[in-house]
Amino acid sequence: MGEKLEQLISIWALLGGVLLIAIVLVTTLNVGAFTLDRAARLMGATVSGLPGYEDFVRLAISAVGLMFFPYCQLRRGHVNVDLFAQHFPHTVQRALDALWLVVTAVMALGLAGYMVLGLQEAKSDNIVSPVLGWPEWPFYAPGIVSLILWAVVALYQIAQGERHG
Amino acid sequence: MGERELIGVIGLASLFGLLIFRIPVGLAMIAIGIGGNYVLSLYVPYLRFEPYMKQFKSLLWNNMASYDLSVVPLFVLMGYLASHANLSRDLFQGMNALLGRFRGGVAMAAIGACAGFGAVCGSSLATASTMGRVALPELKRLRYSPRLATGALAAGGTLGILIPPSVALVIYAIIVEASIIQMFQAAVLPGLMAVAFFIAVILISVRLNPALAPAVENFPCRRKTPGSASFGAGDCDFRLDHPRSGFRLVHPNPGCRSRGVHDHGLWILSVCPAR
Repeated sequence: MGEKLEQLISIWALLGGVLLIAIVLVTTLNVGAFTLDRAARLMGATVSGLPGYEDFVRLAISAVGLMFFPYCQLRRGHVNVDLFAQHFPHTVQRALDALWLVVTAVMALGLAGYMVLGLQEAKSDNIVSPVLGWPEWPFYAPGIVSLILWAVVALYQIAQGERHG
Repeated sequence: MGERELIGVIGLASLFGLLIFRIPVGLAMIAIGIGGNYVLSLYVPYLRFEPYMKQFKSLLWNNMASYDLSVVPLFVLMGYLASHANLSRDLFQGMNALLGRFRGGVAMAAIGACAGFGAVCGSSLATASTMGRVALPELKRLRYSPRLATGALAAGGTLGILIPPSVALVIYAIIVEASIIQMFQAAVLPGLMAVAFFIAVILISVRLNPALAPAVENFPCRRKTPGSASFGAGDCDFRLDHPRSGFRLVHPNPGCRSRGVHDHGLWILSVCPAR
């Protein structure tokens, strides 16, 4: 179960990475086109950049950013202040750890719930991106999945902590 | 002090209180934000709690869907590419060739290499961990005092966020709606000052307490450091499968126009024969 979950989370983060590569490629193409344009202008011609480039980056990054969250939780990468708590007794530390994991899971699920409402609203309002005209609501979906996975990982870590403890 | 100000101060105090108990920082901020707004809504009649909560429907997504914010994962990716291209090792070797002849020189070289790595990486954490992996074994091998070794690397890591490109500056610029490129320009001088002071501190502390660093004996003037090592920031190659060819990573140029990062070259990867 644990290994499967870790695999799933890694794959999810890797998918985010693939989207990130897409952003890199699109950016490279766009910058390349701008450079070509500068050269072409000397000869009186123009080269256009990718239309709707910023739209794509904006929509893709919204998915990418959230898709890394569960992996970050899996690696316990979310920033916290260790300075004081490391002097606490071991049992207190473990209790605090479990408490924050529960709070994390509750908060992630809460945010996911609100985001589902947001998705429905964006769908019914027909919000589209300004240049490309792509609907925005499908880009809420990876975020919702990420938040749910984030909660699952946090809950899994509570169970894991108790088993090892 | 009015009621609202008092609530604000209490909120800030409870934020720090929570942080002491090792709560993840983001979680603490969400909790204090929501809790604080709830308490405010009880005392201030024109602030209502439900509409505040309703904005969470799109708040998270809208904050993530930011074109300017897209440079953050890209800078991190760039740092990883540079790290896997062994830029960190080259920088360290190059700096070592320059500074290794002084007492405490290897620690100074670590600072210099951190500064160089900070020029391609926007994150302090990544800089400290990458340079730590390269420089710490060398410092240990040469019997540097662990205090000096880890202290130098931890201090050097902060250069990652000070020397552009910097993730923190990007986020700050987005929040205050300032020009990212101006932020980067402004950070160059403080970054270089920090490098100078860090090196000065090492110089002085080694002078005061020679036990911190080993004496340098017969520093090999012509070590087998590649000629490009001192200028590792300029080019480096990471070999893929074929030893004679590789990708060349050209020094990134985060040239930005006006506010934001339009029309910029994050990095240029070109295929070319390796040296």
